[in-house]
Amino acid sequence: MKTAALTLALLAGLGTAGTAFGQDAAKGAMEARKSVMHIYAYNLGILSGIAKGEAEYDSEVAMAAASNLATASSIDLTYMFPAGSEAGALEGSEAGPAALNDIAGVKEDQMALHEAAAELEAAAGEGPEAIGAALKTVGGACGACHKAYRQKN
Amino acid sequence: MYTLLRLVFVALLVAALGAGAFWVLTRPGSVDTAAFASLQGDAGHGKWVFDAGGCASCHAAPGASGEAKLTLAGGKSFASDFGTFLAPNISPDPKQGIGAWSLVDLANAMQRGVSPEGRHYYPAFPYTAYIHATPQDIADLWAYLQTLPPSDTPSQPHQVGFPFNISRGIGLWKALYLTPDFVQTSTDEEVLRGRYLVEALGHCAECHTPRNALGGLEKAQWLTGAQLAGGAGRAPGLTPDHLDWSAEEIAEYLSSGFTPDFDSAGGEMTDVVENTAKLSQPDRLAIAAYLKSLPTP
Repeated sequence: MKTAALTLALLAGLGTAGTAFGQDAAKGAMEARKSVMHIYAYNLGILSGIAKGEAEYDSEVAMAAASNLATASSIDLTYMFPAGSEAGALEGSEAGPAALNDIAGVKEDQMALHEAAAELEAAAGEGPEAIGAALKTVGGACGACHKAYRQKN
Repeated sequence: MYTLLRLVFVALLVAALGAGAFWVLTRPGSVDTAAFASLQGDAGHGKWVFDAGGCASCHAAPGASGEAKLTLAGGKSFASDFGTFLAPNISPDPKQGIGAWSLVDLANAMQRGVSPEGRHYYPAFPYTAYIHATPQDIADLWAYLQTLPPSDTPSQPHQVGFPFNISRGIGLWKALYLTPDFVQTSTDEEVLRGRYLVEALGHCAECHTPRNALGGLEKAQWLTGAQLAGGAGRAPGLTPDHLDWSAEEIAEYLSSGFTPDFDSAGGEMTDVVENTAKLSQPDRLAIAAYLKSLPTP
């Protein structure tokens, strides 16, 4: 009897721990994928400032930012959209249900971003105008993925 | 007491007139055909109306991109509390599309929500916004629509149950919510240009303004943000208390999709940015000026 009660208590404890772990894991995944987006955003900000003439063109800075963007866009997001990390299930999440159900599609869209970022990298040494043109393609790639997989709350 | 009496009187009157009143009140209306009689459409400017009005975002085939977005075959579905609506074929195909229509037919559709056969359209079609468009813009759009590729894809029926499938009920809805009056008043020319783009063609309020139980826009909460139909998230508020970006930042967002901190548009808004990116920078700045002129609570 005592053993049974202890077992039950232990199982209940494990169950609670399991749920907590699940939420932590989902939150961790969300934070990881958002961090990748922040790396995109920070470097895009630098390049856009140059393209718009708000910041002085420094080819070294531009090339470093473009290279960072290209590198970040090659980070594999496959395991960063676990169940329970979607909008509605997790506070702060903006991942639409499609992102969880169709990770291959997310990956495909990210590949398009990676290609656009590679073009931007090539343009970064050529000056603000070339950067501006390449940024348009990058923006298109951001939008294409967000349209399908992101949900604002 | 006066109010009570008035209510009683109105109730008696309604009862007396009964179904007849409903019939008259819900009768499909028509634009002033004389206003369109002598208009010559300019297809070049019609493309601007088309982009500003966002026609392709709803009427292109689902998933279409690039050039394919100009084939207005319809088929995109819109879930709502009242049922699921399917965008019809509005390509120039004479059988499945609107190729056999006249300019006045298009005007009645866009500005009165009435089909050439005299039936009410559901307000998923934003005629409460398009009613503010100028007759010349409708004529220009009509000219432009003729230049687009035809599609023989048949339009699909809406999936709407009782009582929302009673077409005359829409007439009653229109009596409440279809008005040619703009919401925002201004004397500033740029704000007025923005108002035309936002309230008339862009129909921004369709997503960004909350609705009441009948699906009418809550004009007292104009552009303050709303839950999206079908439960897919929220359209943010655009009034200055919600949106503190500079005019240039708003214009940039409408051009590239990038927010000031380089986040990028998501969901349906990416379609909208695809359209606003085709407008001129002064147009985008006018939209920004209009948003900045909106009252804050």
